Amino acid sequence: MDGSTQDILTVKKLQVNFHTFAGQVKALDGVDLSVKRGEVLGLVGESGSGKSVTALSIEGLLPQNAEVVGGQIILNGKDLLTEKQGEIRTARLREMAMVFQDPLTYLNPVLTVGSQILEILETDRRVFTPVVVAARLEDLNKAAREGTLTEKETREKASLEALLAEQTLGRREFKRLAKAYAVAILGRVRLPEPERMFKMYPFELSGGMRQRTMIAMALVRRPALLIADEITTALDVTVQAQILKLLRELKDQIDASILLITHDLAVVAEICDRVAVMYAGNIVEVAEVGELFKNPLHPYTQGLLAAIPRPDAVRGELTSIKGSVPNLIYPPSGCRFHPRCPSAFEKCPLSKPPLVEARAGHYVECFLYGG
Amino acid sequence: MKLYEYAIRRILLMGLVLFGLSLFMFYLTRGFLPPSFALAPYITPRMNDAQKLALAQSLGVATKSCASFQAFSAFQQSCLVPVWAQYTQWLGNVLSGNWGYTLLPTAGPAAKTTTIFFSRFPFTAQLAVMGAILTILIGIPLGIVSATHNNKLPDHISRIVSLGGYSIPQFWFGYVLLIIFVLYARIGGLGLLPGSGSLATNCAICFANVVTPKAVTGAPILDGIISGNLHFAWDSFVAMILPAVTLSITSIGALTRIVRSSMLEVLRQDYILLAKSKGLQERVVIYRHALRNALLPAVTVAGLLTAFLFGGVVVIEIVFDLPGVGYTSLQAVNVFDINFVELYVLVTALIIVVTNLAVDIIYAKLDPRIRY
Ligand SMILES: Nc1ncnc2c1ncn2[C@@H]1O[C@H](COP(=O)(O)OP(=O)(O)O)[C@@H](O)[C@H]1O
Ligand SMILES: [Mg+2]
Repeated sequence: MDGSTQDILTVKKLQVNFHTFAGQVKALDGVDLSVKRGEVLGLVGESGSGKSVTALSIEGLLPQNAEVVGGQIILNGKDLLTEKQGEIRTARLREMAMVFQDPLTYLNPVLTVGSQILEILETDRRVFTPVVVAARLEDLNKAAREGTLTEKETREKASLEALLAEQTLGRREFKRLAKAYAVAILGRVRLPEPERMFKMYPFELSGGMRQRTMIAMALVRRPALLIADEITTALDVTVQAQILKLLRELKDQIDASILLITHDLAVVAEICDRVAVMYAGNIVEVAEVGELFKNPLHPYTQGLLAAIPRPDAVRGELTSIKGSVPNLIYPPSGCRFHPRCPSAFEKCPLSKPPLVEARAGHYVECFLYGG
Repeated sequence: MKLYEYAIRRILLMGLVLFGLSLFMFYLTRGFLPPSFALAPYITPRMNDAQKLALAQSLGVATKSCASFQAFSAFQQSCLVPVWAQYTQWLGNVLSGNWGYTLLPTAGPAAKTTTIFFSRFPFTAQLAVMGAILTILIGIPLGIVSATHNNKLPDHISRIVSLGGYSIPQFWFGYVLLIIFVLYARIGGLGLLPGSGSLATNCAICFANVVTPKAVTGAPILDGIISGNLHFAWDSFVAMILPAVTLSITSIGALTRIVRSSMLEVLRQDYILLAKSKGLQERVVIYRHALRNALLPAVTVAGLLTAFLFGGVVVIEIVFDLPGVGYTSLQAVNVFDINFVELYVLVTALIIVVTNLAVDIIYAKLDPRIRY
């Protein structure tokens, strides 16, 4: 787990506290995480384990009462925690995108779907000019191959090809192409009648459609890192399956790495390459998906998997381990899992176990495996 | 339903509201006051008793069988007409524009109620509109700054201003402004701003000896602009500064607080988080995503604020000695000029219902979820 350059994202020893009236919530207790280029990393854990806080820390969007106490978040070689606000905003625009859990509350009710996508492109015309021009050219080239190009389109193609070199575009022309591109993206996320969808308001769409538009808002930026935080949790089971299918399709089409947050191990088994298990603000185990399901090392992971009779058949809610998630204002000392752990021994409450590579590419934070 | 269908339905409803209000007002005045009060607005000084009786009968205030004006004045049973029967007569009169003569002592004999009312009304409207403009121009930005700098210095300042504005009595604030800008802030022996009246004559920043143009709209600033007499327009405007500021402090305070709290509420919403996560500039997040939603509650109170501004002019016209209809109506109450008061109430009510209609239409434009 070194910060090698094949990682798009590396999170090191990230510590986040929340200041509340009841006291300090030690929500993240040294989170270590890395996402390799092109991979889908699953982040699983019970509700309250700190998955969303991790995601929001990466985005630089923690609420006001949160405090990053220590650590590093390195995206594409830059430590976001030491960057200026403006730089982080630019990173959000160009390098990473987040899709949230509840598609209803995350879309602005008074703006059309189309305008909520277009505004992203219009935030930085210079950056998105080549993107929208290339998208239009792709269409025109396709038409050219099929021999359906009109004379007007031929002229447009020539002028756009010239433009691609200069990379300047008039405001109105940009808007026209951006709109065409946005509509195309709405088609990419399998929304029916994308032209019409473009003009619709969120309240006119179903939950699944809203989630697709939120995914479109992420795709339109061509992010290097896509963070998806429980994007199927708020949806009906059938719609969940459709969205997962879409995600699987997109995974192969786009060259983004995906951090897929979920509490559903079935989802992990289906689309992730690797998986990180989170417990009470710690990453307790990281491994390839197959390896983790075959050889869970951490007692917590073992408990999770034991709770599911057959991982391919049942959607496991991660609640069947004895005891309950600890209070993070007064977290247990040492390993935070030790009060619930069947294999706990005298060393466990004394200090936090280090993350060790117990098998090749399989990391675990537990004294049973050394440290 | 289409917007215009909705508007038509609402306008019909407005008619109903005004009708109900006029009925209520009519009952309050006719049901409790002696019938001679109803006659008073229509009497001219040279009328003899027979003419007065004929007038009372033609107005439907006295029965046809009433023997003499003395009998009518003494409330003899044979002369009295039931209130509901009087109402239809009165309604016919006022709908055809006959509101009689005003009883205001300052208006001179045989001055028509409508003439006096509508010659003073534009001035009051000008004052109220200026108050409304100030309220919007100051209240909304102050609320936004307060919310976006929650618990920082700008928020504290804005909260002090709004709470102060909200709780200071207007007339007192008006006198304080007069003392500061007329008595203390003096340039070349003249006060910075004029002390009273509808035209600034003696002040440091106004023109001397301007010619009063012919009244077109009745609102001096507009008249000055229309007639090309910009000196007059400027002086009329300068004379409105202190009154408009005084009038608007309460509503500025109210609007600031509403915008602040709804903006804070909106900034906590999930869609703001998504907007930020998209990498939009702070400015876009605040003005495009937050403000539009935050203004919805503010728009709903616009009707209330309008009512408040039109009600508030009475005090302002007294403090600054202005020839508006608010103060005149107060005098009309004192002399039992019931037609004048009724006209005032109905016109004010009309303005408020129309504002509310406008508010509903604007609301629907701001919020696509609203269906008529
Ligand atoms: N705004 C907040 N104020 C205080 N505590 C918070 C806040 N947001 C999250 N937390 C705490 O941080 C911990 C992790 O929460 P979260 O990341 O949302 O969990 P999940 O894994 O379900 O996404 C929880 O204990 C929660 O109580
Ligand atoms: Mg969560």
